[in-house]
Amino acid sequence: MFNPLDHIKIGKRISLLVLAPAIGLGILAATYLSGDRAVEMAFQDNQRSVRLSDLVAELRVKASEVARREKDFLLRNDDRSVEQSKAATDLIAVMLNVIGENKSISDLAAPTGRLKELLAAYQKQFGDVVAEQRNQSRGGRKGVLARLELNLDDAVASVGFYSLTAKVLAARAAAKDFRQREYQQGENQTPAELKAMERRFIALLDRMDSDIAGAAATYTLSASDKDRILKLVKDYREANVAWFAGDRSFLGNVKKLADLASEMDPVFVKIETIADEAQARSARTLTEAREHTRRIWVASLTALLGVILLFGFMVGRSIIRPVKAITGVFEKVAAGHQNVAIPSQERRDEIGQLARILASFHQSTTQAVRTQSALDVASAPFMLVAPEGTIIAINKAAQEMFRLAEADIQAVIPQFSAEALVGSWIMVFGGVLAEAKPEATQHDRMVIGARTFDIVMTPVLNGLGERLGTSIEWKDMTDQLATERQVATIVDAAREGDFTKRIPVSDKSGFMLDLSKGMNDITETVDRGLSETVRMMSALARGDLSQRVAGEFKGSFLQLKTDANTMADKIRAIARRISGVSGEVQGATREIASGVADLSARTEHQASSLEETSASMEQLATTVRQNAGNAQEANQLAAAASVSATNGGDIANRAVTAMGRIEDSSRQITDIVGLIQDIAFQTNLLALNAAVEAARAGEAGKGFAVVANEVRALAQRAGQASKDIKGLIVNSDTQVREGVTLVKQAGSSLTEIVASVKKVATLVSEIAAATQEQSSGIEQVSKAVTGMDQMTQQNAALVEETNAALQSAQSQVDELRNVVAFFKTGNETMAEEHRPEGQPELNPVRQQFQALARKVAGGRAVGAAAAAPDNWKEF
Amino acid sequence: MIGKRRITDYDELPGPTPVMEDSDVQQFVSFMVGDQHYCVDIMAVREIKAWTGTTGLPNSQAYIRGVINLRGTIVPVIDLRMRFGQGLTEPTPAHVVVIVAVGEAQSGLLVDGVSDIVTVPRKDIAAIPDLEGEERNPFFHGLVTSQNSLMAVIALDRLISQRVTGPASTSAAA
Repeated sequence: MFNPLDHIKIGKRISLLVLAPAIGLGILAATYLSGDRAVEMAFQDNQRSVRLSDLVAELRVKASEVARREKDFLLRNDDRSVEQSKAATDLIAVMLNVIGENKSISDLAAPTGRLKELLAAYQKQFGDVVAEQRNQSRGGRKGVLARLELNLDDAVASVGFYSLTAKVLAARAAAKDFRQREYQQGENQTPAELKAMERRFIALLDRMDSDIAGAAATYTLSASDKDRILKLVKDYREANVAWFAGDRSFLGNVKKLADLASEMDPVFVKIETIADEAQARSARTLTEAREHTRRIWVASLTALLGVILLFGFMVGRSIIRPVKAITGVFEKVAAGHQNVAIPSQERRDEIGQLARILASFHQSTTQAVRTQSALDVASAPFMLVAPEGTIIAINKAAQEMFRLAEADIQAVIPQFSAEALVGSWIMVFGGVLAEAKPEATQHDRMVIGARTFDIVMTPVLNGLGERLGTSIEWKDMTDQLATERQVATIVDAAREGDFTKRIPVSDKSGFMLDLSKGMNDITETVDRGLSETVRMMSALARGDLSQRVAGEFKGSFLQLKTDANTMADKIRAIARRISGVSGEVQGATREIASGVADLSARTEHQASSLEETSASMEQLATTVRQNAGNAQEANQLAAAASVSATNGGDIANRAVTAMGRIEDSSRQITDIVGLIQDIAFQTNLLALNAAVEAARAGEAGKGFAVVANEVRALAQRAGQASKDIKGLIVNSDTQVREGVTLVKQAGSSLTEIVASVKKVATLVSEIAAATQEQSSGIEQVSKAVTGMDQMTQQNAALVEETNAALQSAQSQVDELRNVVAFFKTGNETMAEEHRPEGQPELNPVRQQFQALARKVAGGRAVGAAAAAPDNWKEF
Repeated sequence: MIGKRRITDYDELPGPTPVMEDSDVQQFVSFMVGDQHYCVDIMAVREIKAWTGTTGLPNSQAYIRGVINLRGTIVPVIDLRMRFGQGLTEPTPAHVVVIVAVGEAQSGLLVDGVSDIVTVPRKDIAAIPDLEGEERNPFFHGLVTSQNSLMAVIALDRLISQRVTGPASTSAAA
C-alpha cells in the first residue's frame, strides 16, 4: 500500500501530528459559539411569550372584576360600583391594545379586535342599565307612585267613608304585594311568563278600579269629590302600569348585559389558549435549540478525536513498520544469509538511507563468502600454507583424504593427526615439504609408509607481487598402483582359456574399482554363455526338446542364444503340430461317428412319424368334407327362416293398423253414447219440471203427473244404459291399446330375428368356403408327406456308407500318433487326450445303432433325440 | 239485498202456497249434496235446470255463486254445499240448479243432482232432535224417510233470507 507519508522526513511528520489537533480545536470553538447564539435567541423568545401569558392572565382577572362590579351595582345600586366597573373596563381596553400589538403571534389580532368590540357594546349596555335603574328608583317612577298613593289616601280620608278607605287600602296593599313578592320572585322568568304576570297585574288593577268606582257610586259623594277620587285612582293605575313597563325593560337590559358577558367569555378563553400554545411552542423551540447545540458539540468532538487518533496511528505506523522490517533484514545479514532482499531502499527518508547503506555492505560480504565456499566444494584436495610454514587452511576434499590415510601415515609419523592439521607446521610431513617455498609451480611424488602421494606446489602472490603463501594440491596414488598389478594376473589366465579367475573388489574405490569390475564382468560373461549353450545342446541330443539357453546376454552371445533357442523351438513346434493334428483327426472321426449314429436314429424316427402323419391327414380330409356338407345345409335353413320372419313382420304391421281402426270406431261410439246420456239427462229434467208443474196444478194435474213420472223413469233407464255402454267401450279401448302394444313388440322382435338370421346365413356360407380351402390344403400336405418319406429312405442308405468309411480312417490315425510319441515337447498331457480309450469306445456308431433299435422297439422314438450330443441340432 | 230485488213487469209469481193438502200428504223434490239427501216442498219449486254457469257478483257472500237471467228475472244462485259449510262445489253440466220462490223472490240452489219427487204422509214428517241443549237447527223443518233414505226438509225462508249463526256465518239480509 502506498503511504504518502513515506516521502516526508520523520521530524516533519511529528510536527504535523501536533498541528492537526490545533486546527481541529479552532473549528470546534467556532461551532460552539454559533450554537450558543441560537440558544440565546430562543431563550429571549420564550421570555416574551411568558410575559404575554402573564398579561393574558391579568386580563382574565380584570374581566372577572368587571363582572363582579356589575353584580354589585345591581345589588346595591351605588355609584361607586359604576365608577369601578368603568375603570376596570378601561384597563382591559388598554391591555387588549398591548396584546393586540404583539407582532410575533399573528393569531391574536382577530380575537382581541372582537373582544374590543364586545367590550364597547358591554360598556354602552351597562350605561343603559344604570340609567334605567335610576329612572325606575325613588327619584323617578317609584317616587311618582308614592306621591299618588299619599294623595289618594288623603282624598279618601277627606271624604270620610271608612268602607271606601278600606277598599282603597286593600287595593293598594294588593298592588304593593304583587310588586314586592310575586314580581320580585319572577326575576328569572321567561318573557312568556312575564307577559302572563303582567296580564294578572292589569286584571288586579282593573278589579281595584271597578271596586273603587262601585264604592264611590254607592256612597253619597259630591260630584267633585267623586271625580277627584276617580281621577286619582286612574292616575295611580297608570303610574303602576308605567312602573311595570319600566321594570320589564330594565330586566331585559340586564339580560342583554349578561349575554354580552357570556359572549366575551369564549373569546377570553381563546386568547388564553393562543397565548398558552405560543408559550409551549417557544419552550419547545428553546429545548430543541439546546439539544441541537449539544449534539453538534458532541459529534464534532468525537470526529476531532477520531481524526487525531487516525492521524497519530498512520504517522506511528509509517515509522515503526519500515524500522521493524529493516531490523529483521539486519538480523538475517548478520546471520550470514546471502539471498536477502533489502526493502525500503526507494524511500526518501532516513530509513531509506539506512537501507541503501546496508545493501552496499551486504554486497561486499557476499563476494568473500562465495570465494570461501567455492574452495570448499572443489573435489581436488587442496591446502594453503603460510609463508613461514604454518598450514592456514585445507578444503573438505583434503580433509577427507587425510582422514582415510591417517592410519597408514601414523605408522611412520606417530604425531600425525588429520583433525589437527590446520595451524600445525608443514614439517609434520617430513623433508620433502621442508621448504615449501617454491619460486614456481613444482611437481613431486612422496612416499609416506604404505601411501604414495603426488603433490603440486604453487606460490600464491597478491596484486603487488608479495608472497601470501603456498598452495599445495595432493593426490593419493597408492590404490592405483596395486590394481594395475592384479589386472595383469587375470589377463594371463584368460589367455590360457581359463575364465574362472576374478579380481577382488572389496578394497577398491573410484577408477580402480570400475576397472576391476569391468575385467571381472568380461570373464564372467564369456564363462556363462559357453556353459549354457553346451547344456542345451546335450539335452537336444537326448530328444528333450524342452531345454533352452537361459540368462541375460549381449552381442555375439545374444546372437548365439537366440539362434540355438530358435532351432529348438522350431523342432518342438513341428513335433507338437504333428501330435495335435493326429489328435484332432481322431476326435473328428469320433464326433462324425456319433453324429452318424444320431442321424440314423432320427431318420428312423422320421420315417415312423411320417407314416402317422399320413393317416391323420386322411382322417382330417374326411371330417372337412363332412363339415362342408353341413354348412351348406345350414345356409339353406337360415334363408328359409329369414323369409318366414319377414312375413311375420308384415302380418304384425297389418294387425297394428286394424287395431287403430277399432280404436277410431270405439271413440265414435263413445261420442254417440255421450250424446245419448246428455239427452237422457235433459229429458229427466224436463220430466221433473213437468212433475213440479203438475203438482202445482193440484187435482187437475194429477194425470199429467203420472205421465211425467213415466217419462222420468224412461229417461233414467236410458241414462243408465248409456252409462253401461260407455264403461264397456272404455274397457275394450284399454284392451285394444294393450293389443296394439303387444303386436308392435312382436313386429320389432321379428325384425331383429330377420337381421340375426341374415348374419347367421353369412357366417355359415363363410364356413363353407373356408372348409373348401381346408380340403385342398390337406391334399397338398398329403403329397408333401409322401415326398418326405422317399427322402428319408435315401438318407438311411447314405448313413450306412458313411459309417464304413469312418472305420478305416480311425485305424490310420492311431498309427500316426504312435510315431509322433518319440518327441518329448514338455507338454505331453495334450497328446494323451486324443489317444483312443480302449475297446468299448472303438465303434461308437454301432453302439448307438443298438441303442436306437431298443428305443424304436419300445415305441418311444422321441426320447432318442433328447439324448443326442449338443452340436447336432434337431430338425 | 239481492233477495229484495224485484223485476216489476214479471207479475205472474204467486205467493207462497200453504202446504196444506186435502189428502194429508205432502210432495217434495229431493236432491243430493254429496252423499246427503235433502228435499224442499214441491210448491216452492219453480223450475229445475241444468248448470249453465253464472255471472259472478263481486263483494258478495262466499256461498253466492253469482246470478243467472231466468227469462228476464235476475236470480241469485246459492251453492248449497257452501251454505252448509262443506266447501265450494265444482260445477259440471251434470249439476243442477233448483229455482225456488220465497215470497216474491226467487233463488237458485246449486245441488249435485236431483233424485226424485217423493210424496210423504204429513204425519211421517219427524222433528229435528235436540242435541245437547243446542238451538234448533235453523235450516231444516224436519226429517223425512223415503225409500230407506233419510232426508232433511230445508226451511227455505230461513236458508235464503235469515241471518243464521253457525258455520255459514252471517247473511247479507239484516
